[in-house]
Parts: sequence; structure tokens; C-alpha cells
Amino acid sequence: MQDTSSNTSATNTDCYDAKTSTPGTVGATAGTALNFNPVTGNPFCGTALIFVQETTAGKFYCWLGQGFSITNPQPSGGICTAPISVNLTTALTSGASVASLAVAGLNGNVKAGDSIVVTSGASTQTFIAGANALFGATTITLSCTPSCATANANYPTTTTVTDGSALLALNIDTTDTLTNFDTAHSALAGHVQLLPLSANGTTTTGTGLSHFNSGTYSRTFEVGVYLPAPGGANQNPLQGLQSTFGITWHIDQ
Amino acid sequence: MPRFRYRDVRASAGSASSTWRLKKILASLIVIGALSSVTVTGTFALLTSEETNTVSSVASGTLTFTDTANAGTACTSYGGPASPANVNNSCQALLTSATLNYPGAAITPVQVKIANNGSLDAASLSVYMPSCAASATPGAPAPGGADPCAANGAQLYIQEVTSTGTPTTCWYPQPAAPGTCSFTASSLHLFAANVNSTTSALNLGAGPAHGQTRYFQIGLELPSTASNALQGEEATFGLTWHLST
Repeated sequence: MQDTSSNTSATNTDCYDAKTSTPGTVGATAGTALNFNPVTGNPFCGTALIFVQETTAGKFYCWLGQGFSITNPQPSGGICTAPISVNLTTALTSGASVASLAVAGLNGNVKAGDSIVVTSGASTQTFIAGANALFGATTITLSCTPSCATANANYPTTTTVTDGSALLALNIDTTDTLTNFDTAHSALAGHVQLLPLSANGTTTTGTGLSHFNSGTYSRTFEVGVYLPAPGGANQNPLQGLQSTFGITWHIDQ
Repeated sequence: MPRFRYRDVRASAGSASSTWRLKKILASLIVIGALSSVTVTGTFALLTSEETNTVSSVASGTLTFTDTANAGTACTSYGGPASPANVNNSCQALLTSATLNYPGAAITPVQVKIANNGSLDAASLSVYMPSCAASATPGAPAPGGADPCAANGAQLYIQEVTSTGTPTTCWYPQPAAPGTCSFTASSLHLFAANVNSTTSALNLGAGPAHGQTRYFQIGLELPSTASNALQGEEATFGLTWHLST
């Protein structure tokens, strides 16, 4: 990996850090106002996690991040550990039995058995996912064994829904970072070959991308970044930083 | 000296014959030629296509605040040294010993303004007292020798108010109680003894959100029942305010 931090041209795909010069909100402190967030060593790139989840035609494959494996099929079933943060679309009523959660389209993956945390103000409750709910799903089925859980409070549609199990797993992840991806898969080090899929977590041989209007001529990937929050760690030096990077997609005939 | 002619070759085509070897050489050349042809063709016919989603960026927000006592200068959390990060232990004192007090006398509460000037909301605000140390009041002719930080010493309250000073919530010594605080015995001692680190800090609830401010009054007095041994004694303490996401 070459650190080309002064180069922001289109050909630069290395990940590098800089202090933010524009505050996130008007009047707030920007990274340049702080004296405790050095960019030496690109710490934000080295902490932020990245995942690449393929979702082509309902077939899932984890190309990068937690859940990736070269084993074919992938033990994860092709599901990356991708955090969710969505709102309920149907409120929960205190005391009512809850068999599922109606949510806005998921921006990550929920695996069966994960702890699903709903939070509204001071009220919070943890449910257990009864089945996988993947990118775009609008329902999280909950475990009802031996019986469905009962809502411990009213949860309006502004309630936040997160996956505690996914966050727990990602918060201790120091492997799937932007820096490691950049180092392992730079233009020089080698690409990730995106073989075609035959099933969830299973690649096959053959054409990776058919010509227009023929076969699989379009493939869909969800690329996500998550800043982990390891317990007990002081992450103040990561305040007000910005990581810049690029991803190059390449096809051969 | 044998001379090969075409007819001779055809006539002696056994597997051990030199003609057979020649055939194999020629056949190999044909194969090599074919492979070369495939290779050359493949090299020049290869097409590629590439795109880069470049200059993508992800950024972190900031969680910083200012602490202003009375009409003093705003003290920034990032005004301290680079390490430890975002910690400033040099903000102005709430009170000074310039005003000498006596049992039962009301001390004007200190107004403290905590303003979130970062870009992130604070999930919680807390406060603690790292230490409380007693010493003789500078210049006191006959210090009594008692400890105002000890039990039955000075009394403390922490009151949240509106921007105009109207009490809203008492955080100490009455825990998160609506309305106005009142002094209780040994409250400074108990606070210093039990609320003295980030892990034991008094949770003041959520906020302030980014761009928002919370206001507090810090009250202190010597109880009317204070011992004469508290004469000429001084309590030195600080309050540390802590925000987290």
C-alpha cells in the first residue's frame, strides 16, 4: 500500500485520513479545531470496517468483511455481518405479544438467533430473531419458542431497531478494516475475483457478467462501512476525521 | 550414405524408424504452432473494462463542549493537552476562598453552563468530584482543625435550571427530583466519597444535543450546626463534567 494522502485524484484508490474542515453541523467543531486527532498512520482507515455483500437476484455472497470465507460454499451462507439501524413501521403496544417486527427496508443483515434491540427514549427491549432477515427485508421474524415475547412498553414508529449480536461481533473486529482491504487488494496485490453465484454463499464457474440483456448482465452489491465501538476503548482520537478511498470494478472478456 | 527421398520415407514408416521420428518432430511443430496461434490470438483479443468509485469518504463527528462558570470565559473540552484526548483539567474554579463563609450563611450558587459545541448529540452527561481536600484557610489566625470535606462538614447541591435560572431538576442530594434542591447533612462528604470517578459519576441524563446547552447551579454552605472546629478551614475540590455518545 502506498500512502498517497496528498493525492485525491480519480486514480488514487488508497485509503487515507484527513481532519474534517467542515463541521458536521453548522457552528460545531470540525476536526481541524481539535488537537487530539492526528492523522498519522491513517487511524480512521485502520479502524473503520468495510463489507461487500452481493445480493444479485436474491442470491447472497459475502465478498468482504465478517462472513467472508474462501470455502465454497461459505459457512456463513453468504451473509456478511452487516449492522442494521432502522425504524419500526408498525408500533408495538405494551403488553402485546410480538411475533415479528415490521421495519423499514433493512440496511444490513439479521441472522436467526441474533439479539434484536428496540429502543425508544428510556424504553428498550431485546428480542431474538427467529429467522434470517436480509438486506431490504421489511419484516424481522422473532423467535416464539416456547412463546412469543410481550412488549414491555409502547414502541412508536420512531423506535430504533438494531442488531445487538452484529454490533457485538463487529465492535471487536480489527481485521476487516479499510486499510486491510486496501493493503490486501490493491492494484498491485490482487483483485477479489467476483465469481458468479449459483446459490447463497456458493460460487460457480462461468461468465461473471453476461452481455447486455442476456443472462446475468447486472449484479448488485451492498458496500457498507461501520465504525466499531470496542468496549472500554477511548476513541476520542478518531473524532473529526475523514477517510477517503475508492473501489475499482474490473471485468475481462 | 543413405539418401532419403519422399518415396523412401513412405516406405519405411515403422515406429522405430527415423521417418517416424521425423513425423513426430513435424507433428510437434504443428502442435507448437497451433498453441502459439491460440496464445497470440488470445493476447490480442482480450478486452477489459474498469470503473472506479473513487474518492468515497466516511467521516466521524465531534463530541466537544464548553463549560462556563458564572460570567467567566467558556472553557473548551479540547483546550487541554493532546493527551489525554479531549480532556481539559484547567477550567476556572467555581468558587474561591476570597469570600469567607460562616455557618448558615447563604453562598450565591455558581451558575454553570454546559454547551455542546460538537456535531454529535451526547447520550449522557455526568459529573463527579475527583477529590475534596481540607486545609487551613490562607491567613486564618487560628484554624479549627476540622475537615469541611468530612462528615458533618460542608453541604452541596447540584440543581439543573433553565436558561433563566428557574429550577427544573435536583440531581443531588435529592436524586433526579423535580423542583428545587435542598441541603442535607454531609452532602459534600458523601459526594466526594462516592461520586469521584467516571465509573461512579452522577448520571445527569441525556444531552445536551449538539448545539444545545444545559444550565446548572452548584450550591454550597456550611450548616448552621457546624462545629467551631471548622473555623478557618478550607475545602478544595473540583467538579468534572463528562459527555459521552
